[in-house]
Amino acid sequence: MGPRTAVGVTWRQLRLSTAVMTSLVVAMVALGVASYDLSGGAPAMVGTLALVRNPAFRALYGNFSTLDTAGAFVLWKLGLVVTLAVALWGALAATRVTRGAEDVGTWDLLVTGTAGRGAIVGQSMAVLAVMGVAVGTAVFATFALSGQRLADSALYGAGVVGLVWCAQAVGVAAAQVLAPRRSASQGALAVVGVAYLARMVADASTNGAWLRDATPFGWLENLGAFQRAEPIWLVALLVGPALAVTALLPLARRRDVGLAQWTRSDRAAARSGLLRTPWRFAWRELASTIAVWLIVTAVVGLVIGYLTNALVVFSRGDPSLGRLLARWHLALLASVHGFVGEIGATLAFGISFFVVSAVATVGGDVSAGRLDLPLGYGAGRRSWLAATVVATAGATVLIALVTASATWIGVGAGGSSLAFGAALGAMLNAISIAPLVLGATALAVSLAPRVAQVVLAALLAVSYLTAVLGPAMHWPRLIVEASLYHYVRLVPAEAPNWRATVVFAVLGAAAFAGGLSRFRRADLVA
Amino acid sequence: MTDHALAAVSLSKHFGTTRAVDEVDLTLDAGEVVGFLGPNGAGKTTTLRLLLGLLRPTSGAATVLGHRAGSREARRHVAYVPGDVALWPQLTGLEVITLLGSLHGRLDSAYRDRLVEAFDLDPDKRVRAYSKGNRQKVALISAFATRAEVLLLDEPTAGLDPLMERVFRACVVEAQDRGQAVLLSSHVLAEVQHLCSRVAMIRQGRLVTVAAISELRRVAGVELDIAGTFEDLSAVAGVSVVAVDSDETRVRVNGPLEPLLGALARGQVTSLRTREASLEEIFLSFYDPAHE
Repeated sequence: MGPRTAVGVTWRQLRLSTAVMTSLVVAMVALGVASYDLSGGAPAMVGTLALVRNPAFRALYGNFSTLDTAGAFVLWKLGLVVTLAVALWGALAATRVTRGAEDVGTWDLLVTGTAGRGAIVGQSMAVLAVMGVAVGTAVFATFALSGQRLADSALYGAGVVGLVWCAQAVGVAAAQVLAPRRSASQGALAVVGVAYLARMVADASTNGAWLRDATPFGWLENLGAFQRAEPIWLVALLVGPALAVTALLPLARRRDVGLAQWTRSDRAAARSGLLRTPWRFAWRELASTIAVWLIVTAVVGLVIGYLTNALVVFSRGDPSLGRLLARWHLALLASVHGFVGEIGATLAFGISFFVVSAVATVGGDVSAGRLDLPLGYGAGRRSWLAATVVATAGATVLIALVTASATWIGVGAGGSSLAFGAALGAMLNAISIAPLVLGATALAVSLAPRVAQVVLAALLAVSYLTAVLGPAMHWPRLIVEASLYHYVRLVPAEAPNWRATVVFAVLGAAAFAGGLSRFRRADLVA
Repeated sequence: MTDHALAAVSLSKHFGTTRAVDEVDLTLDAGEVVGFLGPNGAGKTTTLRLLLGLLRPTSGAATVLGHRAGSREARRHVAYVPGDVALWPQLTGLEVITLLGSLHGRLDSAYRDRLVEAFDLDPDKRVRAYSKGNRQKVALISAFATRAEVLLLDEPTAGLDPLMERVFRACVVEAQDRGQAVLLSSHVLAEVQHLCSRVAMIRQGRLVTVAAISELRRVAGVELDIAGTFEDLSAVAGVSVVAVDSDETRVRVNGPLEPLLGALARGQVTSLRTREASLEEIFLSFYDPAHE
């Protein structure tokens, strides 16, 4: 193997997702700046401080003192999505090129070459680092080209680089201690999730600054780009992950390739209960994914439910905040029902990604050749796809139930009262879009199993951005109404959109039927 | 008329302009083990995937016990071992065998246990910890334990050590004795020669021959090493001289031996040895243009 082989291998693995992530971030920043200008710019933001400083809003959107520039507005409005997206991507990219490559044996070939293991690890890290720089540079360039202050644009761009590096360091660390890739990825995502929750709690409380200082999300916030710049936090963001990875290198060199510090036992007693039919096996295959989603939505429901009281009490005591929310068409947020409805609407976005990733496992199995044996042993193709779709549908109901329960408990613990039925209604409303996403994913898997997940995830992201930014930017009605999320109402504050629910169900059923028919006839090529 | 265990009639599969499988006609009857030979990329795996219904034919048809390949009825009678076994890494070997047996609808548990022992498989290990050979064993045990009427085996011994190859051969013989039909795609020609009564040879998607090995040997001719004094044998009908050294002359005879024997009778022969062509030589004669 040549001395730079790992660079090429890692680059090929990451170039597509880097391109997608960079484009997404650039689009979000550019659209955010444009929506600020269209909303009236700085004058229109006068009087927003009450909202910005509300503990619940601080928990969701971060600790901001002013929105007097487009840059600050974008960070406030879209920082949640941008930072979470790049951090999750960074962590998953790192586990993919380290633990994933070891799982499939790529590193066996590389480390037996002339470069040596240390060089291979170093080269992979270097490519990961460059990917982080690419995203951060794109963020900087988009802010700068849209007329924002160069110094702040550069500060935030560098901060994004640091955040990606931190997440990658978490991924690399997870890959050293956990195997296989699925465990390492879940471990890394859990750490990123906990770090984000810590930032939320820190921003929502009056004496939680120390907690903010303990997480990379907090460091990025402490940078204060477009606010009160404190570039010193770049040291933590940029040097921290470099030190962490340097500390991990000896660990990587010492251990056996393919193994981790805590590899799950390779032996297990057979559990045959969910192996008898494709319908049962679908649950078995999705079990760990469903478990992760249940935990994440339960924690988020609890935390955000708990914060509901802070927002509602605050807005009731401040008439100017109520007027501000009304001007932004967010008046419903000033009530428990409205805020819970907002949680439901956010869940609708999350649940659609869950549906895509779960149903797309069939596409992954086709691409990997894993369906050859079951289909060669009598399993029907339509049964196999339908079983996964049905299990996913069942899981969405479970997730809605758990989120409703967690939110209900959180709201109660925070000091507000909410009927369980109201919480349940909000979350069941959130999954009203699931039938359409289920059907569309089944159809996509039958047409293009390899790329179904990426394509649908990108479409959903565009659809979400359209629903969030379209109205503020006065986009044509046709475009806004093409977004799936445009039709999700804030139940229980508003009545459910039954018409849309029925249309989603009918369209979903038609796409599902088309997917089954196509999957039955398709050539299955690994 | 009794249905063949497996039948392909003018079976074709084209990918764009590439004719991966072209007008293949092949039948297998119960209790028959047929070798399926061809160089890499000749169309063996594509043919097997057509017979399983994983690929849809461009034209022609394939049936299993009279049922259209890939149909629910056909799937009940088939078990398959792919050349590259891809399994769910988190399942254990036993769980995979249970899953496949359940999907098939039949699993001879006692035979499964016997196979696990014979193949020396640790069934409680997760698939991700198995070597290639052990994953192959999982697929083989699953296939044999179903007792399916038709076994489609695509390079089934790739990755097995010689001891396990011997176990595999015993399983195939037992399957044949039970009346199961086996289509065995393999590059291990000794294995095919040992197990198969007939072989089908495919080249560039087309079957070039389907015949009993004895028939192929007859067509390939017989080689003789002859010592003594005799006339120039290259002029004798049906005889080609392969090699000449100071002691012996090696000739190959395609067709009747009488002309050669007549020529030798006119000279003085001190020794004569005959040798039938091996399957490898037959294979090479079909596929290697440089092979004499």
